[in-house]
Amino acid sequence: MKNKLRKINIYLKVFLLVIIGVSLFPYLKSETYISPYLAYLVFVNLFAAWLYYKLSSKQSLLFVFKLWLIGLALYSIFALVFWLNNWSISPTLQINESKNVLLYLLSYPIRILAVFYIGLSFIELVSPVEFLQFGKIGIYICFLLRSFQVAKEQMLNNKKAMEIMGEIPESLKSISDYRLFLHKSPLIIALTIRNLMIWLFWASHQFEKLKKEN
Amino acid sequence: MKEIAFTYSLQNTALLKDIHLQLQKQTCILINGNENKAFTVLGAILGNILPTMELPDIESLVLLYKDFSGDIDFKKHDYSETVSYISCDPDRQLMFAEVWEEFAAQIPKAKTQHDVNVLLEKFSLNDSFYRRKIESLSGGEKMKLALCLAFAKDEEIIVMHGVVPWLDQKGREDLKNAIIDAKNKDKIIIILEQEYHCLQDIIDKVYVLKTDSLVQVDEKSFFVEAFNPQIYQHLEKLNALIANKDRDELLLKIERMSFAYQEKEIYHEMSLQLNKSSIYYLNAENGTGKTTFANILFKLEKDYQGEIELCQKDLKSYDRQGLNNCIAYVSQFPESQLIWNTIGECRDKVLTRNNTTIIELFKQYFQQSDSYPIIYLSFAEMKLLLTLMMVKTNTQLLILDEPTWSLDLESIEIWLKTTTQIYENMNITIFIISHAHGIMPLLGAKKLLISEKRIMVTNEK
Repeated sequence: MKNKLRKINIYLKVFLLVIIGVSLFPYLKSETYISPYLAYLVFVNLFAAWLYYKLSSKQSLLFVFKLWLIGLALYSIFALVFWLNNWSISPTLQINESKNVLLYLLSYPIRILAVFYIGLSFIELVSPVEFLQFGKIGIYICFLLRSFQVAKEQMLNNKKAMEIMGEIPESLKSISDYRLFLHKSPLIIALTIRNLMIWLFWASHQFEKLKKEN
Repeated sequence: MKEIAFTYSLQNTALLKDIHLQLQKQTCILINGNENKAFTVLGAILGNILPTMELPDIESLVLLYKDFSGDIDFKKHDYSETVSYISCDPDRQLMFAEVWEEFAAQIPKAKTQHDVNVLLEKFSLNDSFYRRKIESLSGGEKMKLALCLAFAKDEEIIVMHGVVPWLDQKGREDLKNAIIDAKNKDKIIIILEQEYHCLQDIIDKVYVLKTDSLVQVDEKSFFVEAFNPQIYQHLEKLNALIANKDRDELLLKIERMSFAYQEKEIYHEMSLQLNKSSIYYLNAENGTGKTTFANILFKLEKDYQGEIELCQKDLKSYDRQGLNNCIAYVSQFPESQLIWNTIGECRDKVLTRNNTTIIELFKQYFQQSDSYPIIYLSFAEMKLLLTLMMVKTNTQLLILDEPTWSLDLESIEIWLKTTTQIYENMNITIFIISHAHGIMPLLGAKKLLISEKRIMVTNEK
C-alpha cells in the first residue's frame, strides 16, 4: 500500500493535504454545527491513525499518541481556566450552551492529533526529492521536509538513548513509569533540538550547494 | 594549477596561520596532524565549507559553531565552486532518508538504475543498495555511499577528512582505485587522515599541521614509523596484563543464536563463549553485523532465536538497569549516547559511584568547569567521557565499538592508557569491535572473525 501511495503524483498529494488541512480548521457559522463537526473530526482522526499505522508502525503510532497525551494534560489546565471563567474560546463564534463550549474546547486537541497523524502520513508518502522539480522554492520545501524527518528520527533516537542509559523506562506499564517519562520528556526535546542544530549546519551547506547547481 | 592561501583567526588569535597550498592536477596530497579544532577547520576551509554563511543571532547556535565563526583572510583562493568535501561523519554528506533519493538529488546525470549501479559498483556496493534506507546501512556502508557520490560528481577537487577508518580492506582498495581514477581525470585529491598507510603508494605530497602552520615533509621518511615509543610502551603493559589476567571462567555463552534485520539474515545458529577478564577484538567487513552483535548483547535488538547467557543468567531476563550494571556499551558515535549537557552533570553522576578507578580517571581528564558544555569536547574526549559514564562498579563486560576510530596518535595513547587502567583495576572483559588496522593487530587480544554468519574465535593472537 505504501509503495502504491508513494507513486501518486506530488501535485495530487499536496492537493489532498491542503484539502484535509483546511477541513480541520473551518469557519463555523453557528454553534449547532459543533456536534456534527466533532463527529467529523473523530472520523478524520480514526482514518488518519489507521493510515499512519499502515504507513509507519504500531510503535510510532503509540509514540505520537503518548506525546499528544502529554500535550493534552497541559492543555486541560488552560481549558479548565477558560471553562470556569466562561471566557470566549472561538474568535468567530459566540457559544452560549455550556455543552457546546466543552465540545469546542475538546475539538482543539483532536484537531492537533489529526494534524500530527495526517502530517506524519504525508511525510511517509512523499520524498523530499519530489519537491526539487519546483525549482528554488522546491529546494526550500525539500530542506524543510527533510528537517522534519530528521527531527522525528532524532527524537526516536534520543528516546532510545535515554532508555539505554536507564533515564526513562523502556515500556510504560505503571503510573510511576508515565510520571518519569513526563518528567524527562523535556530533555528528549532539548536533545532533539541540539542534534537538529548540528544537522542543520551541515545540511544547510549541502542544500546551498544544491541551490547553486540548480 | 589551483592555489589557496589564507589565515584564519578566532577571537583575534590565529588558529591557522599563512596556510599556502599549490595544487597541481593529478596530485594526491596527504595532510596529517593532531585531530583538533585547527585540523577540522582546515579541512572545512579546503572543502569550501568555510567561510560559512552568516549564522542567525541565536546564542546557542553561535556557541555551537564558534570554531567556524572566525575571520578568514584569503590571500589566494581560486577553486571555490569546484570542491567535493567528505567529512569524517558520512551522515553529514547524506542529505536524505533513502539511497535512491541521494542519487536523484546529488547526481541527476545518473538517470537510470543501471547508471547508479555502475557508480555503486566502484565501491563494491551491489544494486540492492539503491532502494535501501540510509538508517539501515552500517557506518562503513554509509561512508562508501558518501564516497561514491563524491567521486561521481564533476568537481575538480575532492577533499576527504577521516574517511579511511570507516572502510574495510575491500573499501580501502576501492578508495585507492577511485583516487587513481580521479587523478587520471585531472582531479586533485586532498586527504586529511590519521590512518593513511593503505594509501601511501598513491600519495604525492605530505603536509603536517604543526600547531597553526602547515609544513611540507618528506613523504619517504614520514611513512616509516607508524607509532611513537610511548604507544609501544602502553601496548607492552596492556599485553602483559592480558597474559596474566586471562581466565577460563565463563562470562557469556551463546548457543545456536540466529538473528535477521529487515528480512536479511545476519547470524545463523551461531555459538560463542567469552571468558571473564579477557580482551577480545572482533574484526569483520562492513555490513556483516559487527555493531549488530553489540546491539544484541545490549538488548537494543531483541528478536533473536537461540540462547544467550550472561553471568549464567538468560539475557532476556535482565531488565535495563540490571543490564546497565553488567554491560557498559560505548557506541561508535558518543554524541548520540551522551544525554547530558554539561561536564558538571556527568561529574555528579561519576562521583556518586563507588569506583575509584573511574573517579580518578574522570578527575584526571575532565577538569573543565561544571557548566562546560559536552558538545565542545573533542571526539576523543567524548568517547572517553562516555566510557567513564558507562562503566559501573560491577560492570562485567565493556563493549567498545571502534574505540580508536579517527583518533590521532596522542588520543590513541590516552585510550591505551585509560583502557589499561580500567582493565588492570577491575575484573572486566573488554570486547572491542574494530577493523584490523592501526593499533589493533598489535593488541594481544583474542581475535574474533565473522564468517558464514557466525562469529568465531581464531587461534591467532
